[in-house]
Amino acid sequence: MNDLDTAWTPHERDRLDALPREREPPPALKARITDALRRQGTLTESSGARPSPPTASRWFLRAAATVGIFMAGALAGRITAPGGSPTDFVPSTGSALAPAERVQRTGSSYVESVADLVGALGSVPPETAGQGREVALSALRGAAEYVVRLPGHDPDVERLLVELRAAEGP
Amino acid sequence: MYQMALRLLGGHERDAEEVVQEAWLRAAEGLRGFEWRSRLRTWLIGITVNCARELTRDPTRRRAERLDGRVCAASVPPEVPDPDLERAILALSPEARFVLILHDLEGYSHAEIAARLGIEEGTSRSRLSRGRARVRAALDAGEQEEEEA
Repeated sequence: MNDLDTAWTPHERDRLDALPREREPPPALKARITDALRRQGTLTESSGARPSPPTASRWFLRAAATVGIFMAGALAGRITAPGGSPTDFVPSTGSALAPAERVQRTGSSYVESVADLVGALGSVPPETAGQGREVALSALRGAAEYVVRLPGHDPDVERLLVELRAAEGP
Repeated sequence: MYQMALRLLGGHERDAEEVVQEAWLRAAEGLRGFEWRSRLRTWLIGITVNCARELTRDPTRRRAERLDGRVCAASVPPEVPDPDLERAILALSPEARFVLILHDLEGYSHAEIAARLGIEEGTSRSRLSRGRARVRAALDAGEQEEEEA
């Protein structure tokens, strides 16, 4: 008997396809994994609790740090996602992550931070929101300056860089 | 990862938690060796499968599964979309269960399963066939019971 003899009927196949592929792990497990990663030295706790709901002033401080440090990513990003551990994490100073890994780690954090700022717009003074916008643009422009130097000509990125330079001024 | 580990381990929540934790630790250690050509999810699933496989090969755990495997498979919560099917998969032997989950739920080929589990492709095929037959028999038996009731 081989697997072709026992192939699923379309109805059975539909039932299998409908089974969930993801399930939220117990909250205690997330906390245990975070602790274990910290003990392992992969994650180190950085600043205090994550704002919830976010405020632009807190975001501003966090974004200012993010521009310099470039943090989070696939692993930490999942752990610090909404509903996850209420702390920010950065790679431990001892780990020398490869540049491509760091780019992956930082991208989600940057986008998440800008989204936080947008979410806080209704509750902050315009000047604070303006400062946040400047930081977001600086980071975007800084990244674009380097992205255009990567292999693979991309006219869209070059156009974006020109626009960002113009928006930021001399 | 958690759902995958839970299924591979026959619904044993404590074992699944242990495996997910170990998989994250290994992933964090091995991130530098991750080849960006492959998808991150595929890579993480591979690590999870390895951890689960190591756990099921532990002789102490194997004895425990023989003793309480039926209990675990029977305790599938009712909110699961298809509890009968879920229960039938969890009740399989670990050997058949691993292959059926990887092939029929995760879309691995027999060659990939063979490489991942360290078995021959023919073994993967026969385990899949056995697993499917048992799942089908369990579903049929369940439907028959419902009709009789």
